Amino acid sequence: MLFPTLAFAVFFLIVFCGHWLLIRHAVAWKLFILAASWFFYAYWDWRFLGLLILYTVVNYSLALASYQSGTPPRRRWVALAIVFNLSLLGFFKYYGFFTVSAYAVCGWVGLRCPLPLLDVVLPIGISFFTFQAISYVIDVHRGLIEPAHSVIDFAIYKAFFPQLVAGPIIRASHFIPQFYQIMSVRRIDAGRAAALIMGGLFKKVVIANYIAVNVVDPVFGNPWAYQGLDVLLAVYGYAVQIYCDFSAYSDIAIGVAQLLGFHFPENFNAPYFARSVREFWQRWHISLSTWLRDYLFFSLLGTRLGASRYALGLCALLTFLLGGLWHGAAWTFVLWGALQGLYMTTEFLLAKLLVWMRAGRPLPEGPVMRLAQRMAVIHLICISHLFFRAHSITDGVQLLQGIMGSWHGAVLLTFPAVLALIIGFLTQYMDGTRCAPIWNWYNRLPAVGQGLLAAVVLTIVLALGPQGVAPFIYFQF
Amino acid sequence: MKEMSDIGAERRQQGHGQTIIRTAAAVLCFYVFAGLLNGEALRHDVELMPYGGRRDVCVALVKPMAWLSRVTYLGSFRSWIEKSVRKADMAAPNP
Repeated sequence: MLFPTLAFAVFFLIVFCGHWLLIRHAVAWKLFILAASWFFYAYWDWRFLGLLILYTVVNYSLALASYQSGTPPRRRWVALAIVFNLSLLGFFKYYGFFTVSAYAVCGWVGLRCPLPLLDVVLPIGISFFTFQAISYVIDVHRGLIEPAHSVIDFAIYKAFFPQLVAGPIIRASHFIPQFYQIMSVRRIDAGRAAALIMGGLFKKVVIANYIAVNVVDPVFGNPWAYQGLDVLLAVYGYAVQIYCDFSAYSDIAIGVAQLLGFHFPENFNAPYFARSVREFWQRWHISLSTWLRDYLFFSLLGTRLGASRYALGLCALLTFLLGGLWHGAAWTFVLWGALQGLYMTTEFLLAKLLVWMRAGRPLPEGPVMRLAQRMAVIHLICISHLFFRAHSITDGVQLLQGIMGSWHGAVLLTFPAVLALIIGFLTQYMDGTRCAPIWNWYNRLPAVGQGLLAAVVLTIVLALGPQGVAPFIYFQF
Repeated sequence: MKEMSDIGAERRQQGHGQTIIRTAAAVLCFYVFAGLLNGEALRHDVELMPYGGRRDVCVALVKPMAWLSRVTYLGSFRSWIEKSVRKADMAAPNP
């Protein structure tokens, strides 16, 4: 069930009414929210609901076992949970990738080993709820949170529909305390919720879809047919498209949760305004980057690798490599991760070098320096995104070469395309609290005015958008 | 790296927002107005769905809204915007 569809509109109306009508009856409310979330997930493919339930029961049981046991056995439960989660993720997401890669390696060394190739269907959202489950078990193990009071409570956390299929990756430490206090919620920040939902719909339905169809897909679908300005436009276009697409999903999810009385942390904060790659990762898909930092990077630093001289760089590189692989089972994603790791490591070393060269004095600040830093970051990210989107590394290299080709006769460079790119880039101003005065103004409107304004904005968005709604990019992860 | 900033929690502490009753009223008004403004377009979209139970339910659901939208001329707002931006040129692939 996609957010910008009639099916979701009907679903949400029922859930919204049921949620607030049953809020005083804890058991009925829990069962209702759980049933609604499971229905939301089963709407794609009911067969995978069993997998979600399996994840729920196993992780709840292992976290509880870890909590109730002494220190040495506790580690075993956590290890078992991680192995379980990663095994399922590995099977569903990476089986085909590793089989094909192993077959290729065997071919290179002259071995003929026929490996069974299964047609495994990827359950939607598996990467997100695997990470969520791992964070829950580890947080319980580290003593950061207490286990959920019952398997139903944990199942609601696991399946809560706004964040189920494409994040943001909400931690149990954030969700479960709110969940137990939901009955005490008296006020809803409807202004922020409406702005997030309508802004998200605008970014997805109008900007991301338009750029995808008219700029990005033609070039990435046929990299040999375009060169010069067309390729450059597609590369910039993809940077805007992926931001608008993914931040739109996060914004709508946060807005929908807000209408139900839950507040989720922000997942994007104007990432293309970052002045360093490190800062970019503090602004882009924040729930994933903090997850990778807390559960992978710090864990790697704690191993023997962390004791080496180049620990930070190596651990950052490895974290991003695995983060790249998390996005998808393809070498293009691995290369994307490697590039991010390389950027971070190089930036770290350069910063050290600059400090040494300037004897500790900071770099001069000023608008030109800030603009140069931002431009450098955007272009580095665009290069990595190019491989993220390309069908293969060869295609990516071809596109990079294509930029160097003739800049005459660009066919995709149209006024609407450039306008969509600029507006898409400027939508970053909607992140954070930059629009707070508008939210407050909206909250002061009468209910009829709020409904009318939101309906008019929705109508404009739907009218400007193309026929049909393409799925969100992050659904495939 | 900075921690995730929870704007929702910060604003709740600052007392921003409105009562649940008012929010519910706004949501219901939104559905009514959205239905009136998009009724005809929705019926058109729904009729393009593949034949089956799901389509029948959607058509039955949308029909009264489409009628009201046509009778009140509110649906013409959307069709006016669509004509203005020549929507036929912007066909996105279906999921």
